Amino acid sequence: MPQINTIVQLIISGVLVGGIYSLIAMGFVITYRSARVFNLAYGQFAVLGAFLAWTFIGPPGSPRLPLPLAVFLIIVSAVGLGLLVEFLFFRRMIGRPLFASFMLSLGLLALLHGTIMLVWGPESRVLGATVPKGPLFLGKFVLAREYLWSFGLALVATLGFVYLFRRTRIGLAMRAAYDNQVAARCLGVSARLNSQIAWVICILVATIGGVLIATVNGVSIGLSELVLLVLAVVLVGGLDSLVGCVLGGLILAIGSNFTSYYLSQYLVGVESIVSVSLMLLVLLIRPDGLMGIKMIKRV
Amino acid sequence: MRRRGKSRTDFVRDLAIIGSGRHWLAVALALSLLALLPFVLRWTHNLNWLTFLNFTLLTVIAVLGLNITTGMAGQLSLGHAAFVLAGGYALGVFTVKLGWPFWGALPVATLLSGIAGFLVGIPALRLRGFYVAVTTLAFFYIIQFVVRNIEITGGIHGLIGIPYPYVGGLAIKSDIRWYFLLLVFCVLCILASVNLTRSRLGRAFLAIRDNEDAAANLGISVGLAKLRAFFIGALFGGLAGALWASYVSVVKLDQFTIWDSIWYLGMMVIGGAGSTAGTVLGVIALRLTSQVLHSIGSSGLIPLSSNLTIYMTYAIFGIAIILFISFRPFGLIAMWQKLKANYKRWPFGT
Repeated sequence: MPQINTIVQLIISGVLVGGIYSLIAMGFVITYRSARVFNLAYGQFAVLGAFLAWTFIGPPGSPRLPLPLAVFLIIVSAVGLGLLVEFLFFRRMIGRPLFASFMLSLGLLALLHGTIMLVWGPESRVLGATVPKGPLFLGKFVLAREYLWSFGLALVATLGFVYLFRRTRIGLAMRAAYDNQVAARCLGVSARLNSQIAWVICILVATIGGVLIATVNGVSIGLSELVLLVLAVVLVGGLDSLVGCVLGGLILAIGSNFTSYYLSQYLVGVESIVSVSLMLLVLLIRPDGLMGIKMIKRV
Repeated sequence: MRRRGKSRTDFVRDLAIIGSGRHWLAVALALSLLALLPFVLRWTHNLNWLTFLNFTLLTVIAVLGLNITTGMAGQLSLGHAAFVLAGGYALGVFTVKLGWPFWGALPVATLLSGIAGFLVGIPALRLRGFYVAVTTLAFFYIIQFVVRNIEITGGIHGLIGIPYPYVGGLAIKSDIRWYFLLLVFCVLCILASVNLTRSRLGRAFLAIRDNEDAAANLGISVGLAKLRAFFIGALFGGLAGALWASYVSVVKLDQFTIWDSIWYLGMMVIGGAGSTAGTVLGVIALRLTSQVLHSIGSSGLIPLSSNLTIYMTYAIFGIAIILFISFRPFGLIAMWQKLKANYKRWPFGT
């Protein structure tokens, strides 16, 4: 039956793409969980990472730098950017109302968008070899090698962050600061260090995610559309849950795979709307997301 | 001579929008200057600035609405451009497709946009802060999707040939006539907005923004007030959109993008969120900046392509928002008030 084959194929590629979404969503959740910043500029950081990677790695066939050196440079620039963003912008936001950091991230969104377009221009590019490409035949099903590699990398990174958050002292400090900034500081948790670590991780994850997505889709400013998708993933999973990210990523990727396969010939742009409507639905039924911590309201 | 402090002897006087004779004089002067402005522009052959003024007036109306939803009631809205879009499309559909007269379609379009705002407000009843922002963002994309996919809105091509209004037999066709019509609407909207701040409802909005739980304990029906905030904000947005559509005589999807939502928020913050005068100031400041950048780009003084100018505008707006939120979180209006206070107390001010 071809029908069953199609469905399995859609599910498999949905799982692979969902892995990448989950990783990207995780970077978003980490700044929210430690610094309480709802970082709307997140998609732009991913795009910036992709363009930086293109600058270091170059178009396919003509590598600019040897791959290990390029990867090293990308990581160094992401860490540097994280520290810079924290120092210049978000350090001032500790203790300020949520509206302030929200607006700040909007300003950063516009600034990054403008700067990226000024430096690299609007045309999209193809990123050179980062991971092996090409189809991989598994019996009746076809897998793209680059998806598989991206999924593997995303999985490793995800497990690493879950370990960091759940099992280490740094993770404990960050969770404490999320619960109660003042109490955490009284107990000797450094708010500044926390915020620095959170931003470095956030931008590192955004960069990795941006590069992985760019490997599959090419480098262009349109990648920032993915911020909405990431928001949807995060909110479906629950704004403060790492496991929820994985769940949300899988649900949305598989869902949008199916709708774009079956419905996109009838309705223009349905695959972008399905994630949004799923998110709205979840918010209406469970405002804290599928796996989010339920906030207890005291009056 | 140093001025004495103002002594207000009765409550009505204290609440008045225009409190003193001196204030009346200032308002009359400002209005007559605004009325003279187009003639000065015509005399100096700068009529292209009139287009700029008209768009600024339209933007003021739209951002005043956002200021009610977000600035006063504190409900973060990333979807305000959707209300403007809805108002524009509603007017387009009623006049072009159904053949209604302009003055019949305008109130209906405005009201429809308000109802859309009301609907967006419903999920906001259970949500707070960022979640509300994301809901409005989602709503923006849904409205875009609906408009693109239904027949009556013309899909991706939009609607063209939206009629211009007549006022007492006078066709509002030229920029200069539009200017006066828009000026009247804008002044009415500013009046409505200022009046709202001194009403019971306006005070309820401020209370909800500052502390939702405390507001509920004071007997304010938080849910109802939130819905009203969205409704009234969307009314302003819809009015701006409907006038906009008629002014440019077309309505298209790419006229109002998510960036417009962001600029509206930015204008509000730079001017001073929650303050009507601040909002107006912020709109003028950002619109002037973008116009000046545009003029520099097209004059050829610096070799810049028009695309580069646009990207530079993005970057500069971004920097402006970041600087204001970091160092002057209460916006231009607070800077102005401080300046005024220092002038009055001179040489004792800080």
